[in-house]
Amino acid sequence: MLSFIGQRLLQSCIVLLACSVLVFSITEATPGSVARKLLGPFANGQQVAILTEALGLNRPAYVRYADWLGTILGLTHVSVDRSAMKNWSLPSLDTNTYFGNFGYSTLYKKPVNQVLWDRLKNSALLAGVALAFIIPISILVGVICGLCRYSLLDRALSIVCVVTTAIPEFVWGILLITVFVLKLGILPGTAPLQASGDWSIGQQLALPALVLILFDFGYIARIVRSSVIEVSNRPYVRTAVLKGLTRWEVVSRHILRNAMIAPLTVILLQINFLISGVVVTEVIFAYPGFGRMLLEAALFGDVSIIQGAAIVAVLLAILTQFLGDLGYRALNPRMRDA
Amino acid sequence: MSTTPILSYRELSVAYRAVGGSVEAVRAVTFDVEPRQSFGLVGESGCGKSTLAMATMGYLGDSGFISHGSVSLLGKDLVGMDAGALRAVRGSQIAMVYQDPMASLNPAMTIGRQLTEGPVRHGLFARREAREQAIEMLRGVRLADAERMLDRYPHQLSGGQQQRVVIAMALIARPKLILLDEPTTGLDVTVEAAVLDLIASLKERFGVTLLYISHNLGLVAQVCDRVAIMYGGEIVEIGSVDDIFKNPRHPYTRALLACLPGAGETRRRLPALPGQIPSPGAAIPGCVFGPRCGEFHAGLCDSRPITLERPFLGDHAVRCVRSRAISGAMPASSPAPLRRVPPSSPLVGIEGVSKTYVSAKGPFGLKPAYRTVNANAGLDFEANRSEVLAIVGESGSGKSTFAKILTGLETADEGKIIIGGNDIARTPARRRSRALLKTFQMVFQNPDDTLNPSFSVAAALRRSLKKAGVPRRDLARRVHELLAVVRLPQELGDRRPYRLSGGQKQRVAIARALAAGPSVLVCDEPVSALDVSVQAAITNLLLDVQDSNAMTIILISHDLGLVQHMADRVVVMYAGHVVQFGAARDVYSRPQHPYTEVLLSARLNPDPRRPTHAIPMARRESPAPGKGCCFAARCPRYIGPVCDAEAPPPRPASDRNVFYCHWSPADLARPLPAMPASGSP
Amino acid sequence: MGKAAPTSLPADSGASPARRGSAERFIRLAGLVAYAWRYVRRSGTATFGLTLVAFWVAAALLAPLLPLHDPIAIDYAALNYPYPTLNHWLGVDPKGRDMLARIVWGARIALGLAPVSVLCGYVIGCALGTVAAYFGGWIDTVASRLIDVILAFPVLVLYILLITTVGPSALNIVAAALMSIVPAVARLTRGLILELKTRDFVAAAQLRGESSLYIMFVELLPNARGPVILDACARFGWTIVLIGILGFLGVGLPPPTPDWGGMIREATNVLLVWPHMAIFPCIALATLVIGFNLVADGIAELSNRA
Repeated sequence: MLSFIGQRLLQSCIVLLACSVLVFSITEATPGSVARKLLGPFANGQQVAILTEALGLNRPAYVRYADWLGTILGLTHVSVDRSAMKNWSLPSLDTNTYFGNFGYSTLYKKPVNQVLWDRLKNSALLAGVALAFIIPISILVGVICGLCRYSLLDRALSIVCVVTTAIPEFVWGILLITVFVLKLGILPGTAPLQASGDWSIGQQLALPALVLILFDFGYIARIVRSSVIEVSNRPYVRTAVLKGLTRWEVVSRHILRNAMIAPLTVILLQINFLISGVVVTEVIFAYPGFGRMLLEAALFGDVSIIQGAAIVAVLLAILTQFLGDLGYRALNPRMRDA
Repeated sequence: MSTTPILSYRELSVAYRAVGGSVEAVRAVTFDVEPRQSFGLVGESGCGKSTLAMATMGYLGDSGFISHGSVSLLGKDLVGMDAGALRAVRGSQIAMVYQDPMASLNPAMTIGRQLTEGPVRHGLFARREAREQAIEMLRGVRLADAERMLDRYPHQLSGGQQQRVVIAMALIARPKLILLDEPTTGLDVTVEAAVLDLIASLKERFGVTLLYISHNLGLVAQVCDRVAIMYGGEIVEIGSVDDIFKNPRHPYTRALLACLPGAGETRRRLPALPGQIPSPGAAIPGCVFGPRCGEFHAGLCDSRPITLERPFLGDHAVRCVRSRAISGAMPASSPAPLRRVPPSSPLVGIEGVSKTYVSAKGPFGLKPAYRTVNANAGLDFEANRSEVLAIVGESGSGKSTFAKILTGLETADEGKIIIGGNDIARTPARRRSRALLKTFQMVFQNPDDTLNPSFSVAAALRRSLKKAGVPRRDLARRVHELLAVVRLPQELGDRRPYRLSGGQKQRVAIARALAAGPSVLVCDEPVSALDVSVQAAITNLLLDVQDSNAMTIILISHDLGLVQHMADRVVVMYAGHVVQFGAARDVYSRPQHPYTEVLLSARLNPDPRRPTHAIPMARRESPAPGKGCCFAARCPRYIGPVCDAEAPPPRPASDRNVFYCHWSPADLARPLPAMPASGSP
Repeated sequence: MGKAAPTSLPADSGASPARRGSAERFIRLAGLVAYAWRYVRRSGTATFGLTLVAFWVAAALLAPLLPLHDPIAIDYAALNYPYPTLNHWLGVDPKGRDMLARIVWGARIALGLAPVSVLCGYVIGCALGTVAAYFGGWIDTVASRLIDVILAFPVLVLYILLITTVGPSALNIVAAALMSIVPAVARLTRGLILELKTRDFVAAAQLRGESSLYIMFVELLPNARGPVILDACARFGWTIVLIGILGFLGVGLPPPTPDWGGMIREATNVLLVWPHMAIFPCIALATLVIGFNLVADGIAELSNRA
């Protein structure tokens, strides 16, 4: 067990390092200079050149990569050669040295950290609300379909699952806004997460969460269904039936536990997606989440946010994968000895 | 009959729903199983025996249903019984032992819970007594360390241990009847013997009735009192074990018994059954066996439905209108041995070949945790031109690994394989010359895996011929020739593998190997996945092509009967080591090495007059694994520390028979006690 | 019972190297299509899905022939009453362009870009997955890790980064789609080939001296076609959604192009006033994607049940 965790830790570090290189090289290609973005459109070329010099942006890429990595790890900090800048008043660049320092956001004019963790918290809130519904609903639907496979109920529910999953998030968003905001007027069309308006936070969360639930539950339900069907056909289920156990005993002791092994990984991957990948829904409802922040940063070319967010997203992915493996080992005793 | 039968079938028919109607898998089955009987239900794949078993348990899946007739257990009809009543019967009155014990046990539940949940449900004992009962039952099936076994998971047990657990699970609720569906298929010969012995002793102890379902005639002959033979969904013959094996009357039964290799003379043409097993639902007028029957009389056999009749004394029934006319001598092996070219000079020399598998686990290989598996350790023998050299051994003996090294699918770590003066032990197939590749060809075990599903038969053969250097203009002619050699009709050339039967696939595989014109044909379990009636035909074919091409066959097999029938010389392997090597006749008549002795004693003869007396293997801790004799830990003739410490010397038993043991041939002449009827582990 | 229905195609396609006349080839192709249709007909779900897809394919193919308005011509007068009328059957968009024409022409964009992306994605992904699985060792380790990393990223952000870096164009949208198709297909193919390569026919091919390339792409890959075709069907749907999302987020094809995602984006600004302008393209997109998914679901059901 300890060696398993050790192995995974080492693997994760290597993956993270590889990702940081990847992220850094992609953002290298992003058009527009950081200095220009910091100074805004009214600065002249000379000012931009001086700031570029002062921030060390004209050094070779690998030096800046090392510098960037060092800043994140809290080994060094963003150094500004103030001498060349005379007495400009720059927005407070985050020059402190601490672990997890992702630099300064040119878009939000704040240290990346302040924006990042705030947005991540909001996304986690939305993901939590959505998952609280998605997991029970999808498991319930999947198990029902799997247990009465090929029946009319199964076909009907399966088709509902296919259709709800096939409809894209933004189509769901528009349909739900049309119904609940325009026709019924019982829910708000935006969710800025500010309690000042007419709508409570709960009401604001309702529509975005509903979009995610409708979009996502069918996918998991179908995986649960096929897993239940597969396990039901296993010889050990026949053994259990022929021992004279009741239907409920067979299902609860022999089918369910084994049928949850395969969907577990998928469910955990959904956590990852729901926290870091919900760009479209957040855009539709103007939700201040992680995904929308990433989109805005990408459109603006805010390199620091993109880099920091990408690293956090990968970290999240690794974490959920690790949790998935732990759960897999808990459910499947065969993995424990491996 | 003084007693009521425990299980009674009356005109039972079982069908499956299919596209456009239903298909009858079992037709009008009528027979009784008496209390304390061991009843054997024998048949090949697709004959309906498993369907019959599942119908008995009331478990036919989504598409199966009983279309006619009844099954009753102790006078109570099981057909149409409501779910609750059926549940009360299952487990407590009828239990089942399954073919694949690993798959039959829940991988995520401890042995203890799986063992006791049935009886707890049936209210046989309370949950708190369960543990003691389970321990007692596990001791009953001779599992050492029963207490610790309860908290283990199935994957932590060996195949033999798993099957013992399944048997314990069947017995723990003290049922009246146990259905055993191929209970030992997939187990090694020595494990099979031990499991069968255990079942026999438990039957005595608990007074339970057994219904064996098997394709293995040897097993049925050894353990059953009464036997029914199934073919095409019908019972074709039923009688006492002596009736069936000494005086078979149905042409199918007779053909099955006659085509078993190893019983009579070696290397003779086996009387193989023509044709294939009919697919379920095939409309055959009259007798289902008619199309394959040598005694078929048009107008008589195909005019009306044939019923099961009792034309003889006693309780021996046959479904054949000509049964009175068929009697006397069994269909015999052809008199002429299949040999024109005698074996000659050595062709391939194997010197100290060894291979160790290493499984490394670690992130990017940075922190490897090595676990080595010794597959081959210093093999030494040679294969002659135009001979059949058999390598026998149980699973894990390394015989398949050796076949792979020989053909270049794997490479050896050490040692030499000399052919034509060159060492090829470490030359993988992709670096072998065209000529060398053509020298070694292979026939594989699983007919479903051996052919590429995407290519037609002719396309596969064409490709093989082309790679063997046959010019393009000759390809079509050579494909025809090859199909003729393996006795396949030419029109099969256009078919893809999914439209071929198992035997046909194996013939194509042999043709493909012959396309290269090999001088050594390595056959890895060439018939073990085939039905008994098909095995004989493939065996004949292999011996034919071996003889007509003066080819060397290296036969890898666990089937001792097949080896006895085909082989000129035998290599016996255990845990990667050669333990005995000699002429087949000598090895079989005088199995010198203790392991050979154990192996041969565990054979199940398809003859109830020659009962199997398997010698039990020992189980002791080896102080230094890897040193000394490979068989020391299991050897029933263990001498002492010398066996653990020193590698055994070669002992010539005769000029054609060598074995590796610390005993001398004279010491080994003393017989060992056979396995006791019951009791000690 | 037992006998699996042929999920593979029956005709001897591609296996025989013999040269054939083009007429015969056409007959074989027609036979193949007829077989596929008969197969799909056995499932109501798949038939319905295929009908939806066929409707949009027909619309896309016939767009230039149909008596439609010009999809980029602006009719300011229609904006007075932008709802469905006899002249504009589905009304007009916020700029006064005919909705029906834009939706029909939009089908050409979706059904033009998706097949190109999926096809390219399959060629690259299958090759990558096959090579990784067949050779194993460090090649497989590196490829698998790479796939894991790419799939672990919020992929949408990668597309947006890519497109904001190189600018939106049809080619770049295909490239963006490839970023998610290739790793997913490679992972699928890798799993299938890992299982297939242990089969004995591969050993037989090695023993007759076939090259690794031949074994990978002639012996192995064709046998993975069943699950791969099934996956491709669903992936068509996902790719169309992706192209829609890019349009919706404003990084798709530039404005006058009748792209469904872009149409929805433009209509969201007036959603509170004229909701039908967003809803019609939504329905178009949803029906097409649902069609592809129903086909995939139906085929999967058929192959499982038989």
